[in-house]
Amino acid sequence: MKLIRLAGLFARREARSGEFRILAFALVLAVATTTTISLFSDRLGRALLAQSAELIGGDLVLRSSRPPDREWLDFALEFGLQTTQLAEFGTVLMSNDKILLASVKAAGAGYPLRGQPRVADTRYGNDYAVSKRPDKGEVWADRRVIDRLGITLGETISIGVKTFTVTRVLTFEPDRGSNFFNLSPRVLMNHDDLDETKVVQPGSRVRYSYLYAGENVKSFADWLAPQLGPGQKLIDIRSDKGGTSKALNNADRYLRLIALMAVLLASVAIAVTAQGYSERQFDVSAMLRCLGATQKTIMHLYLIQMLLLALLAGVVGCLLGWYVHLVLLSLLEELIPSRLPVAGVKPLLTGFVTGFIILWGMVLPPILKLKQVPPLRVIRRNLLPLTLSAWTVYSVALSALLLLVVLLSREIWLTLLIFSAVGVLILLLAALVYGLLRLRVNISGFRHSLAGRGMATLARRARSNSGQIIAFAVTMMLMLVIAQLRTELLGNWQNQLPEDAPNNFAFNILPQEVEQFEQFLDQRSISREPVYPMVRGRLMAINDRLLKPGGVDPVGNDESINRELNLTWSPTIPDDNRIIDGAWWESQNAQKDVVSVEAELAKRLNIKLGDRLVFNIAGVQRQFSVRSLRTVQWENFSPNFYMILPPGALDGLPVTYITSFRLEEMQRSLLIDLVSQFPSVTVLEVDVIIQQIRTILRQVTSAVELMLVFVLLTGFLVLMAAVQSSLGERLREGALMRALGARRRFIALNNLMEFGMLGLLSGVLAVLGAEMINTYIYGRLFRMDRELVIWIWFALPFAAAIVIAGVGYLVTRKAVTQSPKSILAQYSG
Amino acid sequence: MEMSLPPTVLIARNLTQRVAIANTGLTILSEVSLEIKSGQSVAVIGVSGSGKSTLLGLLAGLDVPTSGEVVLFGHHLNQLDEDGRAQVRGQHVGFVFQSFQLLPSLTALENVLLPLEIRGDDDPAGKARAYLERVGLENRETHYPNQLSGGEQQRVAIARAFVTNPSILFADEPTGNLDNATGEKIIDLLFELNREQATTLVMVTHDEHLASRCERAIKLEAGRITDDYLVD
Repeated sequence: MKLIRLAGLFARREARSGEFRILAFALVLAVATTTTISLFSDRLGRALLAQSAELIGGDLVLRSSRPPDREWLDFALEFGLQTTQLAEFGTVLMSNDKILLASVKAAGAGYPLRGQPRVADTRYGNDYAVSKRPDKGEVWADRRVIDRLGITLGETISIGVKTFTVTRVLTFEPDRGSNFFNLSPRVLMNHDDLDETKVVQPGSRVRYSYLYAGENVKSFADWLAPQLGPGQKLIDIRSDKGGTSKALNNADRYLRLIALMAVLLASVAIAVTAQGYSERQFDVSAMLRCLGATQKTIMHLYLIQMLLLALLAGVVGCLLGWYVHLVLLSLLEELIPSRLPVAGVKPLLTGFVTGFIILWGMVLPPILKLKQVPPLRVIRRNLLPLTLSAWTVYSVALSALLLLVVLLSREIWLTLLIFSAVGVLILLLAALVYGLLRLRVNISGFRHSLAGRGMATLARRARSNSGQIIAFAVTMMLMLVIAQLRTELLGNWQNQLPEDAPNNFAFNILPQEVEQFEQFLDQRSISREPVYPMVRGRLMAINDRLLKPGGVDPVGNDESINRELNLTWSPTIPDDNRIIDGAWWESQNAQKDVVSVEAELAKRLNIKLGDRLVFNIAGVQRQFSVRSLRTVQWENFSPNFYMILPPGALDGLPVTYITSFRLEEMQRSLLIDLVSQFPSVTVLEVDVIIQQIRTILRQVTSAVELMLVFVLLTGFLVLMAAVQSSLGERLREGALMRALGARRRFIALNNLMEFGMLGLLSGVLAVLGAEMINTYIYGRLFRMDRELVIWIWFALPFAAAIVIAGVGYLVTRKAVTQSPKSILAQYSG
Repeated sequence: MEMSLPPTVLIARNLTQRVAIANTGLTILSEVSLEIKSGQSVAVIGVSGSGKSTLLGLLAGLDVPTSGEVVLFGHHLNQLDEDGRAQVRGQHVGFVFQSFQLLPSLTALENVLLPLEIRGDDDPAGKARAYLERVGLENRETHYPNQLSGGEQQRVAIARAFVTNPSILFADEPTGNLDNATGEKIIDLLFELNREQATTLVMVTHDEHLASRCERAIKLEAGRITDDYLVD
């Protein structure tokens, strides 16, 4: 108790010293950064997830090819979940003697769970959101149904043996997910009417879905997953293959990576400061020993002080973090969903605990040294404590970093891999720096030049300077990695969905109409994608392996074999497709029995180069051997195909054509002309979906950019800490030199050049390191191509030299402005 | 009439201190033995490098000898561990150093408070103020070391040394960093307090004049005692 009081007294007195303040400040910043980022990413992430949930209609969806166990719907209530069910099937609609093949969705009670369908009250009227399903006996139909059947609202259509009144125009269904590519006209009906239609009979092809929403979907999914049978699967927001979920996944990874890097940087700042703080406490510790304090007393004194510091930094940092996250949210008001989920306690706890972990890892080892300070130091100033073994220091620091990784990262092994790569890199850098500084540059011209003098000064303090260079290099390296990743990621996302992305799909274009159709669009300067032929075919077998829909073969569960795939042919590979294995066909005259398969599908179905694929196309069996695997940008709203064949391969089979094009708002009315001129052509408007995706991308972008500010701040803190740590020594030297008659200009220039060389060196190392890490991250983590940005290799080292020289000069300018006497009085001991 | 002799408070037997420098052994102290009686004031004199600071460190238990032993107030310092020696120092020993050794982040008052707080005394502030007043710095309580002159800093150090009523005071060149006039005043103060509290004083100095103010002088040359005499 007495010790705690004494430690409190000490802490209060120490709080007046600059070092203690930097330590406290760095710690507060680390805690605040973690808290802010945790809170922000937690809440925004949950909001974004909620938006993504709209795309699949719930937080968790059970898909099944046969009626799932009713208990799976009821039991979810025990988990406190909301539920509803859907049944989707293709059927023939009839009205006024016209018939139309359409896709019908029957929505159960509670629909919609996530998101809202949008409807309009007239064919071309403005749409609005509703939170219900059609009443019994009513259906909502999309414009295609209305146009093709030639009905108006209020008229009736038949589904099976039951007649329904069409009451609204369906313009958007939240739960279409990545399936918006589904090409049939759509109708939404009430699930309670389903039995009366008598459409669904044993053996009918129906897609059953149970939708779940609520806090506990994860534990419910854990309960449900092991019970699934063949032909059944669970889909959550993250397993949806749509563009937004991929963007969201990348964003989440990226935000967490940023948080980790910011904390890592803060740790570097704290480690640097703690080192200096500890060294300055040698005298204090020796004096305390002289005055009779035991080693235990001294340790307790410092440990309690550190605990108090962590506590204080924890509270202040959490408060600050809370406040900053609110500021961030208010800055993003326009973009962020207005009703954000309430923040959990976990982000605050994460921030709070971070402070303790950093202290343990970065501050404890140098503090432990204080125990070893020999009391004789009061007489002999040069006596240093026995240093802890490097093993101890690094293992403690490493264990702290590991803890942080576990705390902040969701992909622990991957992150650990990156961190060990960074670790190895740091060791390499350390060796390189030390070697460089020891190298005497013996060219006489260089030696006496300003840069040479800077180098010489650097080399003189090789040990402390190599520490600083590494700190700067690592800081800049991490910042560079993050900045480049950001540019690439955002660029990538934006490229996938450019401003002029097609917003209409046209399909069922008849072969004889293709030319006219192209002319129609081109004459009105409507930008469009190429027109692709499309043949529907079912994949029957891979080599001799027969694929049975819903079979026990895990492959049998794949959606791609439960439905017909779109096949096309093309002499050239589509613009944004990329061959990852095998080769594209060279000429028109090449083999006709080959196929290029989309890579992810190939992976799921275990299709290899050279495999023989058997298709059933309009009742005819055709075989193709796999010539290449290629990646496809599914999110770009151009026609995309799992299977591409060489021209001529599908000759003689029934074919229609497909394309996508962009209509500006004011060109909307052209659709009416288009539909009347090409009555067989079906047009699918995807504006709403594009808007939805675009909003999410914009939010993600802003969030990412704001997070970057933190990394910049912590990076700057490292810079300050490192410069500050050598401040006393530099000031004393400067004062001594001035006392010995050196001119101010000389000293100022010396400092400037030393810091400049320091910046240049660390900049070069940072670029080297960043290149290595980037290569790894792009290849393994994000699986993206990247372009080398050559100018950065030169710009960064020079920018670093200038900035670090500037900051160094500002901080050490005391050395030339204050009188040598007062500096010596303050900094000599 | 027979006076009872004052007890011996400090005994050193055959103290030898060797250090390894650049692979060769350097003997700093060689076979030094001495005894100091309670209340005695002893000057250890010698030129720079004669080993006097080393001897002071050993006598005060700040360091342990290569061979030989030190007994301070009945405690065999060699047999104690570092913490044991620290406790002996806290109980019996006060220090005054050439470079003052005030903690820069503490005010004058807080510096004087420090040993009392470590020991856990009652009303440490009252005692500390009294001693600051005793050394004439009652108006400087809240000043930091770098706001005080050298003489003032050493006075704070003296207050810090005496505030625990030590039985023995070790002073290492207490005037080494001060000009003559200031040094003279500091020494006056040191001896005054020494007399008031009947403290045993061991002072290392190279200044013959200062040594002459002590009762006894021990002369060190190249790590050996070459002379040990009572002053006048």
